[in-house]
Amino acid sequence: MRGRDILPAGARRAIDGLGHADVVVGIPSFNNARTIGHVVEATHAGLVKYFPNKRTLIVNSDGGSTDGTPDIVTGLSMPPADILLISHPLFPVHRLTIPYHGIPGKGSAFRGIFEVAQIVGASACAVVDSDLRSINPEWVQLLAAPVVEHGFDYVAPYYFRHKYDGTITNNIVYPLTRALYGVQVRQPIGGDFGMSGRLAAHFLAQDVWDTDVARFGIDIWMTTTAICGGFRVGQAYLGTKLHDAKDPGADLSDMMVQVLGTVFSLMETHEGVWASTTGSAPTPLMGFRFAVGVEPLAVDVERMAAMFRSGVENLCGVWEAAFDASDIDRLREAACPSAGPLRLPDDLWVRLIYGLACAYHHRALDRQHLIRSSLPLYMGRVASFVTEVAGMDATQVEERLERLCLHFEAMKPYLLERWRTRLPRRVAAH
Amino acid sequence: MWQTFGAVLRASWQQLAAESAVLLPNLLAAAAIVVVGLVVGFVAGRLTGWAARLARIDSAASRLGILGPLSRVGIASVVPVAARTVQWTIVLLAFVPALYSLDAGLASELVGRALLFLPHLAVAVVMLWAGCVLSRFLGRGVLIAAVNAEMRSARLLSGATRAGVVLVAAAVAFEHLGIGRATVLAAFAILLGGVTLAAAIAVGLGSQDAVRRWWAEGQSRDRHPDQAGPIRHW
Repeated sequence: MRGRDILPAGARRAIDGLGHADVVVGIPSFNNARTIGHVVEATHAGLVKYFPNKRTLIVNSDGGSTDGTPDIVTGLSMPPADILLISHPLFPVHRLTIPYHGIPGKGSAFRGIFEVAQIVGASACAVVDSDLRSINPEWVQLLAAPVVEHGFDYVAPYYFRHKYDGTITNNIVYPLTRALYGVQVRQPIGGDFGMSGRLAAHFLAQDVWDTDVARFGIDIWMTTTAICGGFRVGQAYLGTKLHDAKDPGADLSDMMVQVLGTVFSLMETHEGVWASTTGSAPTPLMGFRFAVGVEPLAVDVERMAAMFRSGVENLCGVWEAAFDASDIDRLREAACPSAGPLRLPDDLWVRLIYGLACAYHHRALDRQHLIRSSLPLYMGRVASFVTEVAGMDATQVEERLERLCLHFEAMKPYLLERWRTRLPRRVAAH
Repeated sequence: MWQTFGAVLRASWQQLAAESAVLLPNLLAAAAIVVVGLVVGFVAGRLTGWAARLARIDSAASRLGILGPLSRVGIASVVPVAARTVQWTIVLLAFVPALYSLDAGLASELVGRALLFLPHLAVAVVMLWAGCVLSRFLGRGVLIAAVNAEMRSARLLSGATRAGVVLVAAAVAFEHLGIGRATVLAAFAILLGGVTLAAAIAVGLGSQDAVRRWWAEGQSRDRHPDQAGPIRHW
């Protein structure tokens, strides 16, 4: 599916009727009637307030909602400018809802938004989640202004999060992306991004839209593609990120397949970039940093540890395809109840993640099985991490994560050696 | 009377001697062929075993998913299986010329039948092999999914899946060979029905907890702002 095929004919006519727009803000949605009104209001206010001289457009890319989400986007009446304490804009903010074709998922929704941005000739584009409860008008400025005014191509979000929040980001995606590509993007799968029209066109030109990129793999794919494509990358401090409560119910195993599968697949695509990269450099951070109160989070450490132990009990035969025997022995030791509270030390964790990446690369096992089998390991790591940082404040947790990142960077030779050596397959009992 | 009796005995003996004189060379030739077949089969079996070990056939078999199912029935290595297969194939092949030397008509008919049966046998073997590979894949998928779903009987479910798939493959293979067609089908239907019923009861009983958990999670979504929310992984 190429070109404008992802947009239905009716949507194409509507976009053609709009003419040009300088800034496009996209909101992917699927049954978000409860929250999307607030997101659209905040986005509208942000565009009116911070881009009064620009032609702007809000695009809702909807995946077939049945709860009236698109109607809310188009039918919402906006508060007058004087209530928002802002001057009257030169141009009205247009709003558009488009259904997209293709694989249902966030990535396909983004593709529809990029398509619209390209058609209207936007110089800047931002995307924000439709289930946000904490978005405010400043987010639009923080994500789009670095592109419009400072020449950035890609603006990743930087949130203030609870220390237990975003554990896949903290323990896998951030340290791995940083170690691989040498760029410190703290929230590479944050969900809210700004980008230049040039980069959006570059994204559109890639032949990835029939893969997991069309689903939840889109965030890490955009970040990695921007870094490896040599685009200018920055970060914007957005404060805290609060979602609608329905999201955590999504299947974690599927999420891992889509996100980790995309990360590992990108390692194959960009081997030439990461293989020669050592260390990492900070990424410019824009916006005023402030501490905010965050939602308390309940973590059932015992349940996670039990899942890890069940994994060790049942899946060692599967893991033999990916990990060294000595690593599996260490997992068995960690799972032993007499060993005290569950601890998965950094060096072991890094070896496991690198082992998974290499097993994925060498196809040592069916790739879906491989990633799904890592869920108990991840649960064990989260249980270990939560126990370890229980008494720490936000700064200490960041320092702790910095140490983990340095481990990832220091053990990169291990990754390279394993990546380039095809391991003999061992007999897997399961 | 004694003269007649003696004449009959002589005639019988002469006939036996005459017929034996005709048959004995054939019999001896057949025996010689079988003995040579046994010796050649034994030597070829030894050579096959040596070559199979040298070629690391066990590693290849495990990669192809053959060794796993075999180990479950007590066969830890493919090497002796390959050696014995070659040995006894040669011995069986030696019986063909041996049979020809005894009775060409009968041998020809038997060989004709065997040749007609061979393609079916080959297809059945491929079916069984495909079943073993599929059972391994599905069993592993079920095992991982069950562990991730925090089920306690993950191995049992995985084993049942494997056994079920192998059973289906075996039933299809036997059906293809025309061996015990009605019996195999009836046994398979009874077994499948039993397993389905057991699974339905198990799911029904087991899902009580799942429904309770789901209900509890649904309630917790509408929690008070001060209450702790669930962990967000990404």
